[in-house]
Amino acid sequence: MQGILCDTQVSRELISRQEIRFVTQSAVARFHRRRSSTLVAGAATAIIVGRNMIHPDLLNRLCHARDLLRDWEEEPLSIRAVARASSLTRFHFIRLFKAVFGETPHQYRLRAQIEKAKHLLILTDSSITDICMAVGFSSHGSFSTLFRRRVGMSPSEFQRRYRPTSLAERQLPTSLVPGCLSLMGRISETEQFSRRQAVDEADSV
Amino acid sequence: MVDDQAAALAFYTDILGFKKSKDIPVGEFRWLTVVSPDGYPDVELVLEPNANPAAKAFQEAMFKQGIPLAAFEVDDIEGEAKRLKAHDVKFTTDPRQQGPVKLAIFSDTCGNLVQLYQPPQKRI
Repeated sequence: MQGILCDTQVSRELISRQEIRFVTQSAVARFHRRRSSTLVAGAATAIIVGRNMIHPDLLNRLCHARDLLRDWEEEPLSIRAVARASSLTRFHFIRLFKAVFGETPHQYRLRAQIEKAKHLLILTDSSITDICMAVGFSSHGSFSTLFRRRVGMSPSEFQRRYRPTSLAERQLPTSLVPGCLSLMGRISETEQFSRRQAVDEADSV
Repeated sequence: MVDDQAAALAFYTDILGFKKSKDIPVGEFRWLTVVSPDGYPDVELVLEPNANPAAKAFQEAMFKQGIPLAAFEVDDIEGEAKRLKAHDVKFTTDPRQQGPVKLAIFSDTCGNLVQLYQPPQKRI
């Protein structure tokens, strides 16, 4: 209590007991307020620390949400519906999804739709309009515009360029599926080819 | 393996503190590597696209199971974790003692979990 009184500059000029009591009370009140505000601040830090931690269960729910955004059955689910399926509020879900996967659910879904469209354009004989509907776009125009912006060419140009490479086996052409193995594989193939050529030339000489 | 090479480069350089080493265009993708400024300059980390469906399936399964695909050594794991959290990086495991090392796991925003570990202090 003495410590509290020393805090207040007026404490030394007090005369009557009543005044002392009054000042003491207000100082105590102030002290409690200050303490409770530190408590509040402490709780806030705890929340902030907690906000950057993801429980394995929550991680699973986010992965499931990502699956829902990519593999829908009849029509694409709204972000709100996916958030609800993960038992999260919409904005909390969007923030969390972005922090874990680097893009918002909406951005992710668009990318997944374009990916799916690319596969369908290469692997099936469906028309571009059918593919556009199949991946969940309602208008051909918005699909083509987005596709051109993301892929750098129109869907029909993409189809013309990559379809023939898949026709023999109906498999994704390796030029679309990089990864160090296919990349190195291709490099070594050309190397092998040039080496074979060199050997052939040496043989012929 | 990363789903977006540009975003991955930004995360690995701006937030994790790697330096870009090689950036060679290969068709619609890039041969993109980064190095640690404090580590061996000839050990590089490749940020390769996960366009291969098999790679994607593997990556997603590992992520779901909480298994990190890369591990980096740090000197001060608590400090690093605090710094990354300030950048809104999400951790699945806070720094904790695991046998002789301290480790933490976070999401790299490109579809992978990455582990940090701090080896026990060397006795001189």
